[in-house]
Amino acid sequence: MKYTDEHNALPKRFKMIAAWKFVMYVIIGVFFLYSFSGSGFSPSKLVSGCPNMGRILGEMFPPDIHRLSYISTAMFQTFQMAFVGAVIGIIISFFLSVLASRRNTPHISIYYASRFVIAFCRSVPDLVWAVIFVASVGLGPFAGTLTIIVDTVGFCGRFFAEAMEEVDKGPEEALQSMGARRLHIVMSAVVPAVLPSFVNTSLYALEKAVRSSVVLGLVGAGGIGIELKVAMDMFLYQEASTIIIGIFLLVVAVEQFSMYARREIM
Amino acid sequence: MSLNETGSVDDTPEEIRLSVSSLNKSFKGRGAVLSDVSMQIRCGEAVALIGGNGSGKSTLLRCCMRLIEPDNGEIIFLRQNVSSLNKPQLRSLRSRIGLVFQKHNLVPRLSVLTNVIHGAVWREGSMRTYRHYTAPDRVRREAMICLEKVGLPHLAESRADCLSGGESQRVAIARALMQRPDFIIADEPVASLDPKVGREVMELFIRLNREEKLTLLYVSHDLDHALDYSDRLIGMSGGRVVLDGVSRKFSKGDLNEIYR
Repeated sequence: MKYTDEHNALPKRFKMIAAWKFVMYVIIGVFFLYSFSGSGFSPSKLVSGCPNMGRILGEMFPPDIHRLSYISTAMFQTFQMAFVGAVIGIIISFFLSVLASRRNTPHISIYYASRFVIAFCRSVPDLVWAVIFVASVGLGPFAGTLTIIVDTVGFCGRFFAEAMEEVDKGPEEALQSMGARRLHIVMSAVVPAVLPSFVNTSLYALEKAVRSSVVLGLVGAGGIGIELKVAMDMFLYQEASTIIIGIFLLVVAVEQFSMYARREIM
Repeated sequence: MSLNETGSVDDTPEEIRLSVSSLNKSFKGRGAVLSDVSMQIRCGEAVALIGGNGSGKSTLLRCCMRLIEPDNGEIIFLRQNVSSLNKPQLRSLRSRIGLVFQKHNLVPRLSVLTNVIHGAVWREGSMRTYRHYTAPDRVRREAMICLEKVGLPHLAESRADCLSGGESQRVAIARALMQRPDFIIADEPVASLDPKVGREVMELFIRLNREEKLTLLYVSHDLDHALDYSDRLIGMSGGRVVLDGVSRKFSKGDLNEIYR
């Protein structure tokens, strides 16, 4: 269309938003400000707490390495919990996500059931799962491993299913037109297409599992967490700093491995 | 190996391979896409289906394969009433029809050989055809023969997403051949290719049609291709068949009328 004097109005830079949307934004803003009081957010407390933080940090150094071998063993156990839990969780997530993707599920009721299981696993926090499993199977790493499995299913199940929904339909249609069954289509067209996304999500799940497994010890679900809690409760800050440095090194090592694996596999 | 050796191609020249009668299809919000479409395709024919965008060509092809359910009408494909088939019967019918897409639709991260082997999925019915390294030797050998027919045996181990457009389409044709098809349908097979490669692919199709006696139905927007590489032309406009006749009787000017 030719731009003439009759059509010289420039497009508006911003569109007028609907009144109800404007009201929603205002309500969200007001609620955010109101929530400051509920969250106990206090800059003055933060400032006054800084010397304490400095004191604790000061007492943490030099780190106490007398129990290094014991801490290393607990750290290794933490990693084992995370690794086994994440791998089992990823495998379960894969099968569950096939059922939870609308395009691949054999029946709509199975789709909703799978979605519900994944959402339930995800919406209950890992510490709550840990408390439940400690009560069920007793204190120790097995409870932690079960917690990580459930947590990984909640996390990976959702992302795997979403990746399957977004995959290009072309190869699927090609296999369908050749008389392939649904299982063949999933294994031959869907899985190769979503593999990069699966690998990415799985590696992130492993990183997340390592971080979670540290915290799970706080409720008795095995690993290094319980050591950290005891050290802090007994004001053994030097020993606590050794544990914190160990956790930091473990998490960084897993993240570095994860980055390397991503580069190699993708 | 000739496809005739498998017994899948009938040599009776007049046998009707595809018969469509009074086919209708409409979509919500788009109205009627196919209106009372009827046509017949005989064994060994190469038929070009032409028509403007939205004239219903692709919908017609998909209805014939029942990738889209028609509203009503009758489709007899390879002597089977497509509408009345149950799922296993439909899979069996589809396995005998090679469908080649405009976008090639290869599985990107898999090897060329694996993609071709997928053509044997229905026949083999085993998980071993998921990847070339698990497939039986005879299947791998047949896949290599199909790749040879399209001139690409040297690319067997390449990844499908590393191919040029022309190579990719040839692999898609090899995959269709791996089905040992009685019929090949191609939906704008050269639309995304440059003119030279497009012509090469069309020559490959017509060679397969002549040498292997494969019945061919393809959609094309290129009127030169339609005239050069077909025995018969079917023209569609507004969801209806408006032209059906022997290709040599038409000129490019006649065909241009359909697009007005």
